[in-house]
Amino acid sequence: MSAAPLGMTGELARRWERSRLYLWVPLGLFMLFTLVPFYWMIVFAFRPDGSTHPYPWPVTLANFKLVWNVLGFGVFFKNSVLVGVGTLVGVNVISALSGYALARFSFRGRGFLVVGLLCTQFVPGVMLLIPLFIIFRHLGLIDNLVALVIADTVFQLPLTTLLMSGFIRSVPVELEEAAMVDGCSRLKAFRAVTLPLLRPAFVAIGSFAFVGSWNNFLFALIFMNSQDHFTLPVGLDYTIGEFSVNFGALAAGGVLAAVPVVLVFAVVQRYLVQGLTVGAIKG
Amino acid sequence: MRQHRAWRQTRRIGTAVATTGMLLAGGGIASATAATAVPHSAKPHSSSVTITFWDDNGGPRTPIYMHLIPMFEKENPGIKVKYVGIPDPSVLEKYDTAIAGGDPPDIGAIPGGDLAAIVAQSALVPLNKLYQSSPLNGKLLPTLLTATAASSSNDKTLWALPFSGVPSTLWCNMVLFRAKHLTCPTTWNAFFTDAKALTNSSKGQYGLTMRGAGGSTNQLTDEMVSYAGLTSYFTKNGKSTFDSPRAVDFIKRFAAIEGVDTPNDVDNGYLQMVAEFDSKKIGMMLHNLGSYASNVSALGGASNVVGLTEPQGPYNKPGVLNMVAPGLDTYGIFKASKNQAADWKFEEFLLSAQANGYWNQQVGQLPGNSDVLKQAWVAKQQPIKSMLAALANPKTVVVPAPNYLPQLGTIVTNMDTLWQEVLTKQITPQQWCSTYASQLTSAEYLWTHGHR
Repeated sequence: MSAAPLGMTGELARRWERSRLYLWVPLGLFMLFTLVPFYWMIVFAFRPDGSTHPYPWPVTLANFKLVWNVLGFGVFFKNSVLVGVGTLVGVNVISALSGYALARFSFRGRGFLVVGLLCTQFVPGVMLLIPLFIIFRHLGLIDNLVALVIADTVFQLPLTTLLMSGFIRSVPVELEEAAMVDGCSRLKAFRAVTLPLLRPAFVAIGSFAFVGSWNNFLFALIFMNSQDHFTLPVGLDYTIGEFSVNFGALAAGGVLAAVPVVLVFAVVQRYLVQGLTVGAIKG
Repeated sequence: MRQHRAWRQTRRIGTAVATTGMLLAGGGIASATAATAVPHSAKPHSSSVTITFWDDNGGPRTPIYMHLIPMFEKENPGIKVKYVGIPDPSVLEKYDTAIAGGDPPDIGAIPGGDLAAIVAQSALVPLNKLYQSSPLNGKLLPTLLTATAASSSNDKTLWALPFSGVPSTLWCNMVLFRAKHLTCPTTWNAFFTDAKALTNSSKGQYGLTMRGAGGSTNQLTDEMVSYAGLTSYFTKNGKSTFDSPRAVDFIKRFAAIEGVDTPNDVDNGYLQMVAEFDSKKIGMMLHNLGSYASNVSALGGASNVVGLTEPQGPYNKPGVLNMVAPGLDTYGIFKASKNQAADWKFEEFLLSAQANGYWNQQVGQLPGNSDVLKQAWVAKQQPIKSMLAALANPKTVVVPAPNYLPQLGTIVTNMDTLWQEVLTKQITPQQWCSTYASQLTSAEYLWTHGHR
């Protein structure tokens, strides 16, 4: 089927197809919509206060100094990294175990558990705030970053467990069985044979877990009670006052919050695509 | 046989692993519920008491408390204050969860608009007796005290004490006013005339920026009360006064200038409105005292900004001004606190002329402590001076807002949407006023008949 617009024939149609404008125009428009907010953020972050230039000139780092030194983004950044990495590890370990069980074992209530997992996705986090708050208070975990790691991990596990079970199912069980015939225990067979093949899955799930935790505002706001334990999303809210908004600081904070996520995706995107597609087709 | 047993064992392990994973994955409720029996960690007692203070506008106001708290700790060596700045947009959410979860702070700054919701949860300590026996007694501005009591209940209980007020304010860009040889208007008739005179739509210049979206009803209510000369939200029979012909007259006149003497403001929230005013192409903005600092910064200095009370209404006798009681910032002590004596000590300090003066000077708001009015900086801040003169004028009628009504928040949010329908001519000003009045009357009826 030709991609040329209706009525376009001959050389014109061939040129149109060669130019691939039918791809570039919509993609370009999409990019524009996606990147304009980023450009806005960069302009406000690097532009001096009071400037109305549509470009960041003269460049200033004053907004970054303000958010890092005065608003405490240095501490928020460190906390976000700790919680993000903790969640990444927790989610990967637990979803590998539960995903393995779902993929490899047939047990009573398995279908019910899968449906149950899917159903938890319909419960908004905000509904569980007060019960979780009470639980963490009794555990002595209010104002402790461990509470954030637990809450973020728990909220991401239903989805990541299902994803991981899909990944594991795509690894032929015969590979593990061959290892077990050669004398491996099930755990060793899993560790030695299946685990290395799941690298793209760990990267994909880990990325989701890290970014989900990195962006989580509500848990950090509600479960932390010290300036020293807040994370970046709470810090960003600090720039919005009752009667004023410091757009420069907000944008600089936004850049600081976005850069690690962009870097993570830039590094792992190869694995990410691999990971997302590996469980998609089952022979 | 051995293989079969091993396989069954493996299945059992698998089931256990899966179940554990599911329990953790499914919200963690089961495992965590069992953990509720663990006692809350008790902090060791020491000679020094630490109290936790929540600031309701963390970020912009953090440096102010970083200045004040060391002063307090120096004066009171046995008390340490742990400061927690809560971002302004999320204050009520944070308080609500902490109260419901049983772990509120010892003392907190509470916006006047959120006070009723917190009082309704029985979370605060009444402060009447503490205030009466304190050196502060008689020092706090009576208007703000009355408004604080009215914010949470319609008896005289003080569940918090006011440290700052933000009365509704008419802001004028004096660069544009001077260019037209005009002064910031003091009557509503002059306001409408000036809005027209300052408008030059071909140059993108307008007389007024209007709040069309979120928060519009609260602002409109202040203006309607002032224009119509209303003395109360309700008649003695509990019927709202907001559908009176004078109120409708105001809504008609005000809605008529949208898109004529204002830019297209139907979707304006607070941020868009302020951004328009700060663009230097708008003559007037109706907001409150809280935007003083940002207006001065955006318009190039205090000499370019004038802030006055809402203008005088056409139905009022000369010199009589009706104004809705100022918005409030208050300090409350939480019932769950184990150190209420230390909390009160800190609250007394924050409300002292020294601390309260410093706080309000930094943010440009009306101080809660009347002794602050003698401080030199007050005389230099024209909008505060103007507000104080109006509040001290015996002819001024201060109308308390019924913030005690639990439905008030929902009503004003509904009315915000309907205001957009007035501006887009889908409903008439009369319909808007009738709906507003009817909803307020119903809420007041429920309140007075004990349905709280």
